[in-house]
Amino acid sequence: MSEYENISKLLDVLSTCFSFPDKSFWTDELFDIIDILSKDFDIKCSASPLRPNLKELQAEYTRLFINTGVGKIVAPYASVYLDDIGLLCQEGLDEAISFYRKAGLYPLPSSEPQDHIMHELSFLARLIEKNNWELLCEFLNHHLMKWFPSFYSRLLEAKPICFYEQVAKITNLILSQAREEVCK
Amino acid sequence: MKRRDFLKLSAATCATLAGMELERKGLFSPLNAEAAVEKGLPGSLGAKEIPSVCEMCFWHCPIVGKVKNGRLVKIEGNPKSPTNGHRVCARGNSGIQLLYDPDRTKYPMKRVGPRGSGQWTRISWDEALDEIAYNIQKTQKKYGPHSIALFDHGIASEFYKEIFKALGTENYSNEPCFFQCLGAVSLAYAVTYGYQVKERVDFENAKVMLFFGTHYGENIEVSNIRQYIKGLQRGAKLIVVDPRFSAAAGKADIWLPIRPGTDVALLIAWINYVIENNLYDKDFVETNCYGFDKLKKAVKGHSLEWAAKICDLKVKDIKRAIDLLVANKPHVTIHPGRHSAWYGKTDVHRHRAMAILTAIIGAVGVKGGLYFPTPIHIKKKLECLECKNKRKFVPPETSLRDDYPFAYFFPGTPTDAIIKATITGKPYPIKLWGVTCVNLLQTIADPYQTMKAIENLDFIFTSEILPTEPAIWADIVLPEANYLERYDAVYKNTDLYPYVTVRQPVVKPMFEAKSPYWIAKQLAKRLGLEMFECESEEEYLNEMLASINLSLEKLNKQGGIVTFKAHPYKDPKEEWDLNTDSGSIQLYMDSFEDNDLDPVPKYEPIPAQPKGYARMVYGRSPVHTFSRTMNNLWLHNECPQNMLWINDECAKRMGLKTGDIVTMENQDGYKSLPIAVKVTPGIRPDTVYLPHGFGSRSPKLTKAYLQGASDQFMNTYYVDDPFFGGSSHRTNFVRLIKDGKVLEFPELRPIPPEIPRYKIQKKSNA
Amino acid sequence: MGQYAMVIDLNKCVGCHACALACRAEWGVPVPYHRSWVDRLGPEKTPKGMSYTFHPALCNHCDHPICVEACVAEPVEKEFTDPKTGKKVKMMVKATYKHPFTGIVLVDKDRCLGCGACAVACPYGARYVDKTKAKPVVDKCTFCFERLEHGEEPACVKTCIADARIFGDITDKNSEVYKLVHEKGAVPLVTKDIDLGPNVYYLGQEKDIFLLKKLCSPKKTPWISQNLEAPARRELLKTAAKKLLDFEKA
Repeated sequence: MSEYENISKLLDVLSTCFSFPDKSFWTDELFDIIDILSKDFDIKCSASPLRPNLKELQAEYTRLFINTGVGKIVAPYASVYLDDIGLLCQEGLDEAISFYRKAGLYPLPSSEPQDHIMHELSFLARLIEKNNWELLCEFLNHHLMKWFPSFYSRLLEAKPICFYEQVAKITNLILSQAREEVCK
Repeated sequence: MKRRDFLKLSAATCATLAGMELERKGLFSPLNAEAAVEKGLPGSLGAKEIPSVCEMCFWHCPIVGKVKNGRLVKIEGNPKSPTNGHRVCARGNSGIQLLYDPDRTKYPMKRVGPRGSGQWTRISWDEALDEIAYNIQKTQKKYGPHSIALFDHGIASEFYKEIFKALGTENYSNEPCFFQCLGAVSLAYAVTYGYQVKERVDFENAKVMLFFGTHYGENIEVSNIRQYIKGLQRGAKLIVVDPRFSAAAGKADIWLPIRPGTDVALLIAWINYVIENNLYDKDFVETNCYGFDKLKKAVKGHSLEWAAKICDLKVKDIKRAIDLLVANKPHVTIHPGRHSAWYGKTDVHRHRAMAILTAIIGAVGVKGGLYFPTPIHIKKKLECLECKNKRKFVPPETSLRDDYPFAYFFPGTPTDAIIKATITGKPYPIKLWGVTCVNLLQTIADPYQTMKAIENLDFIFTSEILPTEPAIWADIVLPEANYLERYDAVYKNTDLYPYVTVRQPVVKPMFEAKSPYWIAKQLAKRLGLEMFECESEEEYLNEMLASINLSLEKLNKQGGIVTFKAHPYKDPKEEWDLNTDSGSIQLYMDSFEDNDLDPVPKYEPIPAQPKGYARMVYGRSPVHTFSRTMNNLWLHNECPQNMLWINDECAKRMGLKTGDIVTMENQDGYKSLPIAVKVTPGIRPDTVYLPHGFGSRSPKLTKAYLQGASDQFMNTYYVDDPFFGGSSHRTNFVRLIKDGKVLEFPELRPIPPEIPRYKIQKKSNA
Repeated sequence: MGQYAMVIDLNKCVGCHACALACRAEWGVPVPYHRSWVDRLGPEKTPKGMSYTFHPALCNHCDHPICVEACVAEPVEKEFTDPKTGKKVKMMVKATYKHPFTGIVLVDKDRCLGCGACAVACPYGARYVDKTKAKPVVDKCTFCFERLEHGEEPACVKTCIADARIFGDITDKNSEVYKLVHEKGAVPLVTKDIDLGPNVYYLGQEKDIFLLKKLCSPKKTPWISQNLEAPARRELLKTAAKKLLDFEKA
């Protein structure tokens, strides 16, 4: 793979990690790659590094992203953080979809609103595949990085298990570096 | 912009990545057609309008959902609705925030921590439904057919109810809305008049209106309020009987700040006064009332002076009110009330007395008075819905209804009896609960007892649109589509402006939320019940609408609603044939007598507050519905917490000012969440008041959690209604705690010797 | 020239807050701000009896809008068209102005600097700076100007469940608002010190109007002492302040 194809694949991996860990597609490979990447980027967990089984992972995902509960919710949607305070399917979703259209793409039907972090990371991966760095930077600067930092800090505040802490930190690293080094 | 290799990945990592086969390779497809993006018109103008029915409260106003680019942007009334037109209330306007609440239920979930911890994991619909069906079958097999119970409410629960009924349990429907709310008024008026009177009073044409606790303005029922205001605008006088100066009292000509618990005394004295002074409608009584002589005998001697002492009111004020009422008979509205689960013991008598007073002054079937519904016949029993193999119903040896001679009046069994049986196993064990559309802990008296009962269950499942308290306690939570995302029933209004309309989905259900019909259909299949064979909701709705020569398509062509002419009045000179025991208006109830209950309303003192305490009463907020809306972003913003109303004279002596934070402590030693005080002259010194539904105990409702104080969590002493087994909600007394110090209420109003005080008993705290 | 006005009939108003919510829904007004809101008053004793009433509030679109004077943006020329006659007129306007044909006070969000001087100046608290947006600018009730242009009534008027909000052109002697003000005694919220000629009026029982005036009359704002950067702005504000002081009796 070429250098940037790695990054595209990596973004797809992260997109998968942010989706509900269903047994139909979840493999140990995902845990492995996150471990390796954490070593690469020197990411340490504040929680215990024990690898959860699938059921534990599903419960943790439910706790973090589906019905977080009191304390700040960690809903992984652009709408919740952008513009109107704390609601689904608002201007954040409209913004995301207008970016997808600009790239000639349409999100596949999903039970989740399509400004979910998994959609937006997958979108970045598609932009890299298409070599569309201009749109990628526009998407980062004018959309994703307007909400990701809030989502990220809330996610860490919720004290996730090591796996999700690693996923969050890796994602943060990639997005920040992309912004700094490519898009400035 | 130069693309660079901005991420230094090790060779090993690159190799691993290269080798990975991701099942899901991307969430996008190429964009084919340019779907038009609606632009242009400002605000909600230019949006697509879809007719439906509101469910932000139980009043079910016809609405239109306005959708732009697939997003619901506004909700307005259905302009063709003859009751509300294009208007909706604060809750109706805020339905959008129910739809897009990030806290909403999204996927079926299974409990992973202890009950009450709210720890869940997402599961599939198949797994959820399989588990529920398995547990229902297991429980009935082990403990008998009646060991399963459904707590339900409203239209969305109809299908679940049919399932439990088909399974042969006598506990197929516990509607807390009867046993914890409108049971007393429903029973009282139905046995008196022979039909479900509900709130069918002709405000618009009334010359005088009389309210017992009705607080329109804080209690919002759009169509009734429109008629009430029209009536006032036409010069109607208003009498409000309420220990609190409510929003309705603000528009009243006479406010009677009655001692709580004594309304029956006032009504009996009024009835006696009317009879004694020959102010009743003799002709109407003779033609259409049964039992007048026995009524006359029973109320004899109950003077206005007597009532004044009991009720702590001035004789001249009581007299002024009744004189005003009779001077304007028969065109007077005595509002029947709605939430009537006040004291447990005399609630039925209170509403019977109101019904009787209405009858003897002839304020029935005439303009301005109680009116009759206009029948609209819509086929409800459909082949495709009916259960073809329902279990034979074998009544239990001892029914949960046995203690209550009039419990048969309501479907299912009394709440209190189910909860007690779940704890004690007597008269038979109940080991499984289904809960749909009702917040058990905020709705039912003594939530601590309810929680104890839940701990005793083998299995409990809930169907929710929001993760409320029952969800926190459930083993399985099903995400139900909310009213904006589903079909429901055909709604018919049989009041003064009759219409038929249908709830239709305004948007597609989000996440994996499903409509109640889909859920019930799936569940029934797994339980081996041959029911709900209609493929879709459209199918059964079309069949129902066909009975009035309509279909969904025809209805929508007419704007989603069709109106009918009302026939609300009757000729008082004619002898009516009512569906009562005697065929006439029952002033006297032989069937009550047969069951050792008073056949005519009788005053029985309700114990007054212990020294140092005040009675806690509650009511409605205009921007909230029970405990449903506290998590709604907009409604929460409008009113995030409730406040405790305290009489200004008491407050002065207790050293309290508006805004001070206190905790209530009730007679059983239970403490409330902190609540701010509202000091006002508009409430009796022996009473405190707070809007109902606050103090959520669900941490999953991120906005509502612990906001304000819950009245229900202070309701730990309740009295059973002897008629049908309802529970009282206004039989608790509180004193206040501020900065760790106990503040007792000064006794500023004398208690006559006829009224005993409540004796405090020791009870363990939760 | 017309002047839109609103009369709120407290005899009919039940305090349901539908108006506040409909406005929020129509214009996406972000929480915690409001363009239209309801204050709940009482129960409280008044010389005319116990009152429990409401103050449904919104921008008063005053005859002499002090907010317009407080605006510090550079004036530019703008052309306006009378929607009724098609007549055109040119005016120098800053970032907020009173529409010449409707009397509605509007904000030009493209030109607003977001300094908040107008919001601080308003003695009714009708304006807010929307800090939820990337470029904070001021927002307020527009009497649903955009809806009026399409022949629709304001959202709050449309939703009012008791028909307590009456809206129309008060310069039209046949309009209901004119009659309610000039014949039925609907009153604006003014004090002897602060009378900017508000165009929202209230009708109600004596005790309710008493409580309304007691609790909701316009307040003297501290905008005069507002600390702003540019000296020029302070000069402008001082001039406007002098005009406000003219309202005060010594």
